[in-house]
Amino acid sequence: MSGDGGAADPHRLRGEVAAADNARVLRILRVVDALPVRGEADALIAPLRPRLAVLRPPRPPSLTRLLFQPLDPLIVPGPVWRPATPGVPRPLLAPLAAIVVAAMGASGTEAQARLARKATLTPPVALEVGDLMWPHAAAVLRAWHPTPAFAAATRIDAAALPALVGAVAALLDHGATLCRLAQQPDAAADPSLAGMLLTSAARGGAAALQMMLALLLAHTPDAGHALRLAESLAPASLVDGALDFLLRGFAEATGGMSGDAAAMRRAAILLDAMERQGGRRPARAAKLAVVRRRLDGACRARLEAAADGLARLLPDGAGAVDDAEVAGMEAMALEARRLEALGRRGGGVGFDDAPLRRAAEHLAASAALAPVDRLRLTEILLGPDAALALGERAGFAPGG
Amino acid sequence: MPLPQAQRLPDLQAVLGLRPATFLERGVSIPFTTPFLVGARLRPAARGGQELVVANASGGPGVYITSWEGVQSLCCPTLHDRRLSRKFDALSVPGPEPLRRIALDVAEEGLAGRAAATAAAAARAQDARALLAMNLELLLAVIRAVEPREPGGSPPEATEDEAVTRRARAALEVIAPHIGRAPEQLFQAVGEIAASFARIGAGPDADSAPLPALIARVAALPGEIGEWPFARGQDGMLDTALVQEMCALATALARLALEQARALLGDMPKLLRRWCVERAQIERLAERPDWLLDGWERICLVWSVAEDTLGRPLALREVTHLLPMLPREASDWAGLDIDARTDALTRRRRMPMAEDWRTGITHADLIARNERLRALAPAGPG
Repeated sequence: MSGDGGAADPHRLRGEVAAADNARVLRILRVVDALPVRGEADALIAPLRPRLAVLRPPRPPSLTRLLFQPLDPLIVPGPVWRPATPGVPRPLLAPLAAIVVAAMGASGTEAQARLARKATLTPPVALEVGDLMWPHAAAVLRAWHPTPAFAAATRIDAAALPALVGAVAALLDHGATLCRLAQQPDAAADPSLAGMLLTSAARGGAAALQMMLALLLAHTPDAGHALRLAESLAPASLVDGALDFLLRGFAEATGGMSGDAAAMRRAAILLDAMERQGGRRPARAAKLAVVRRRLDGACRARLEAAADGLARLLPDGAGAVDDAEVAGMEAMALEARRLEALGRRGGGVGFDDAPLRRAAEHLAASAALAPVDRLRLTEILLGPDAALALGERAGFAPGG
Repeated sequence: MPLPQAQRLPDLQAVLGLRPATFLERGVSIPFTTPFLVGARLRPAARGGQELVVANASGGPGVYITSWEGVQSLCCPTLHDRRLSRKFDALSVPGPEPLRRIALDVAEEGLAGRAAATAAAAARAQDARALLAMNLELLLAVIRAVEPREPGGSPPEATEDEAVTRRARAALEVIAPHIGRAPEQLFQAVGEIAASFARIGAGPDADSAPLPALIARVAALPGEIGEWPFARGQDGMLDTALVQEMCALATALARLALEQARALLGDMPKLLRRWCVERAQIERLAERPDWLLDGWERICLVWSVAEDTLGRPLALREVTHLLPMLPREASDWAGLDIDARTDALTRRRRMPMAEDWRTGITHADLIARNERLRALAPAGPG
């Protein structure tokens, strides 16, 4: 922020916010979250959203955030949104939430009160309170018709609004299921569930079907299956639209490509599926290549970070490491291993296990770890044969 | 994880249509953590020593029957499994109980993680409590068999443990001449019987003993699987039906074997007499529930942790893969002609534990999941 006490230049302010370090980003976010009406402040933090997706700071419960949480991967900044895409423009959310709460009356107030008692919007909180809201919200929005005044206030193309709001309503019908999918992506591999969601969304119109497809593809660990299913239910143009939307999201995200190994793997699988499906579109192929290179780079960076992080988890002295600390190191070693598998699968040029070897050597030399812990960490990082070799070099065989 | 080297690939042929006649021939399950070895069973080899029955890694039909050396040429076992193999190599005859003890020893060494080591120590403590409880029940049964029930007299279960021991020793003095053994020998026999029957349970808390508790979990499994929509859908229906059938069969047979074993405890003088002359036969009767439930602990655990590990569809496939075959001996034990669904089991058995790019499950994830099962059931197969 400018700090000069005068009216700040919004453009310069946004630039400063975008360049802020993580600690400052979190401070800015706390200030914005505390505002009773966010208005232009939302635009201020818009450039931070990809970084927030990675940092995942605890956010105070907000009814708008809760109401549209099931649609999270689809939400885009207002200026970026285009009609006939699966995106949901952010400026639409708060006004729609106000309409829903007003229409819900006492039950809306009760949900708000219940939400106010929660410290943060964790997934269980979202499901608990969201279950009260989503079915009502879907019904309210389905019956509501956007007015010209609403279109003017949200600056969204009036002609596109009815289909957009109808599609949002159709998705909120499945709010709880979509939130669970986001938390447990393996559930999306259930063909009967994916089929049910797509069929149900199709009844809400083309826009709803396209949005549901984009959501499933964003969450599912088996994008190929979801795509085949979608192709049997939807015209090719809709499927293409969903894929282009997701690809654009990957390409525009600066930090979003550096999530955990599971998120990066889902992205990689989706890229595979897109490659198979989108061979007929050269423009997409070029974009795919760019995104693949970025994913590869992010994977390398994450692997290096995980390997370095392992070393940092070791205590400085030779004091014994407790169970929780060892569990933390093993979890990080496992994550590093997943990233290495992902990197190798992605076919990154020269992708090797050097960071894993470096971490294993560091851990093996630590006096703070018991011999069996050193063996296990080496085994997780490099496999049993390497662990056995370490044991032989260090003079401790498994089991004595 | 280094892959097996091509030049080391053995000339193993998958054996098709394996239909074991006895439980020993079927083999005992081992709590391996190497994904490739999940569901493997250990059995005595015809030429002496032990051999392993391992699923066909290609996902095709049949099993490999091989030594531990053969296993090492098929996959790269974890340190934990290499340690297990060194221990089970020394067994004379594999059975559920000796394997349990070995599994606890290895888990306590920490090669499956600290959580499994801690759980193994806790399991040992639980075993010791179960043994004490069974020993006490048997001493009470000895007292009841000898002391006349007098109105207003002190029932044996109302007395202190020390007094129970004193009264039981006195009762054994009475029984001993009828059996032709010294009272001290019989007192020792009571301890041995308690060790054989500890997991079966007796007395008012019998159902909390390990094997009855496991039967209850197996009985609940079809309901838990059936609650999940995929299990009722086209893709899961056949597996679910088979799991339901095998659960029903396993629980019915295990309950019957449990009742038969517990019936022996109802007449302590007779049991002591038989123990002195045909101990091995009684031990085999006491082992039957363990054999019938061998492998089911893991099945229940695979399902219980599915949600936050591999997901339900894979878990159902793994559960189906792990369903133990019932040898013909099971019919003899039950005195019934059992349709053991051997053909269906052979058909539906598919190697599920493979690294899968589409689901994102890596080899390391599979090992971590298996280690988690070790922490939940440190003694391994139930």
